[in-house]
Amino acid sequence: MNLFKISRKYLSFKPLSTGLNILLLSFGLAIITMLLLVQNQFESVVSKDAEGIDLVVGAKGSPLQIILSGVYHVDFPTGNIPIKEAIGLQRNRLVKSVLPLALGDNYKGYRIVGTNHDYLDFYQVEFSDGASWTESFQVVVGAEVALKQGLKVGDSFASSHGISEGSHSHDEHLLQVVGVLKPTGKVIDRLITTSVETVWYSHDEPGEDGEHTHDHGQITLNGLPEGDESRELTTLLLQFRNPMAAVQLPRFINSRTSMQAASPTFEMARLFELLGVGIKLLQGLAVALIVIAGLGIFIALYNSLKERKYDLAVLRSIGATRFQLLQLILIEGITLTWIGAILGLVLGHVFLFFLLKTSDQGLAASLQAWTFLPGELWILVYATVVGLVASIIPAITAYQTSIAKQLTKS
Amino acid sequence: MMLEAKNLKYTYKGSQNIDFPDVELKQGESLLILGKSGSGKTTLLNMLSGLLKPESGTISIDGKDIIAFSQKEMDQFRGKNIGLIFQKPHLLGPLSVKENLQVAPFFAKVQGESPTGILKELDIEDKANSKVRTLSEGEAQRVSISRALMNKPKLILADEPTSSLDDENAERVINLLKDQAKRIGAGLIIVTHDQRIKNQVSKFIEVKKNESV
Repeated sequence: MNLFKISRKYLSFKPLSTGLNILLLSFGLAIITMLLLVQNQFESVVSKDAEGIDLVVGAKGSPLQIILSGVYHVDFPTGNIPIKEAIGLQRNRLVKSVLPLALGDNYKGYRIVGTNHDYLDFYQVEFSDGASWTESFQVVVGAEVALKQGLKVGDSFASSHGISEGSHSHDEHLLQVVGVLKPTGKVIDRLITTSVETVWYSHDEPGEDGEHTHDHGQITLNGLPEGDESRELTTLLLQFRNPMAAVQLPRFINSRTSMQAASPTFEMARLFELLGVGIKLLQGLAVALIVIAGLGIFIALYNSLKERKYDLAVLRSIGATRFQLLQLILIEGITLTWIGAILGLVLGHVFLFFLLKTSDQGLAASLQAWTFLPGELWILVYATVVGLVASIIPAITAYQTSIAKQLTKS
Repeated sequence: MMLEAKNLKYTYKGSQNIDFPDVELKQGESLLILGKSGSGKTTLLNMLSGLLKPESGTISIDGKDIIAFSQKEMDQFRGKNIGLIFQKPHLLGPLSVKENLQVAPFFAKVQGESPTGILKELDIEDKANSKVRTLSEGEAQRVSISRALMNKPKLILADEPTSSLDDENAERVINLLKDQAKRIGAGLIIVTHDQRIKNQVSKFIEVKKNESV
């Protein structure tokens, strides 16, 4: 027999009220856990994908859209840019390197990105099977694409026109998988990469006699592809040669060319600021839930105390000290909140798991439900504080109860 | 002398003060405290068990002046040396019969007797693991007596232990109290106005309210 056993017996004596309080508290804490996980991982995923990219250049349009489509591959591109302008930009002395991206096709919702080997090197990929493309119509698939679509080296498939699923297919040109990447936790896991020329050639109209008018052999493995003037790219990822470029280059691109420059850091900070309102709202809701749960625990302990004054007096009459009764009530309050906290943490991860399961594409796909953050320990601390605050008044009341009065009152 | 209480006085708010008769009890002796309802019998018992401090007077139990004890010392002294039995059994609902008994030595920090042994002694060992709710009134009162006996007290104080019991159970409870007090060599004081007890215990004192206001 000990105080923990006694308090456990009392808690399980009223399963409904105990259960309700635990549930309320755990829901509040689950929302906080989920927010914590999403916010933390989202920020780290977002910064990992954009690391090393100083500037993104696309067709005129929304800078945020350029970042989302060019770096994270979630939004639609703003349009295309002429290859001539891209080559002009590469010659600029402020630019250290340029990664070309040509978008336009997808395979079952996974984007096909025409680029060069520098893009693969930029994300420091490793191959789990095969190697990089060396000819047109050869592709390398990211880890997630390979897993979800069951693609492996040697497979071939027909791409569909457009960024998202469900438009006409390019049946005349099957794409052949020559390499599968290891998981990186970055955007490239969700992409199918190939040469820029593959994307170009897929979209060329067949000649009048049904013959293709272009040469299928020539592709560019590094640097910008050389195409005739009518060729276009979608996005360029730039690295600056020196800090001066951060000031001069965007201004130059926006005013002197038909292109638009966007800074990933700046645009994502702006996006988080916009999302922040929603996150704050959810946080407020979670705090409200926790406060209600705290009140619930307080009321439950206080009410049960009225019924239990008798029991407490009996305990005193058989030798329990007032301090032991104080401890008993505190243990009950804290046990209640700790069970709620642990349940809340588990629920938070479970909620996130189901949330991610229902949206397995886009940025959400790179979030993990079962990673644990040190910040989650703070949730236990919050819960303990709630438990202490909620049980301190009932505990003091128990401490001050006069036993003679309780026992002689029949 | 096991118990000695002299010149005890107590005043309830808005009421006249009560002078209590002196109480003396030797080891193994039994004593009844009689009186009309409202005369202050229970108040006297509460003072003897240290639940209530008298306004004046002295109480010594086993040679110790219990009025000088602090709240905490009193709680612990009571747990170790005094077994209390009330009119109602006052068992702890969430705990089983056996756990109700184990609580006593835990709080008094003593070894205590074996719960099953005492339950056997009181003929309710088959209820050891039962819920308190399922007990009859008579069984519940026997459990509360068992609990009072757990720490082998030197003094057993019972407040109207039989008033809510039928004849058969009442007799059983009185005999149990007497037998068990004798077995562990404890002094026994029973507050009652129950005629059925008066026939069983010869020594008694009477509490009366003062006539003058």
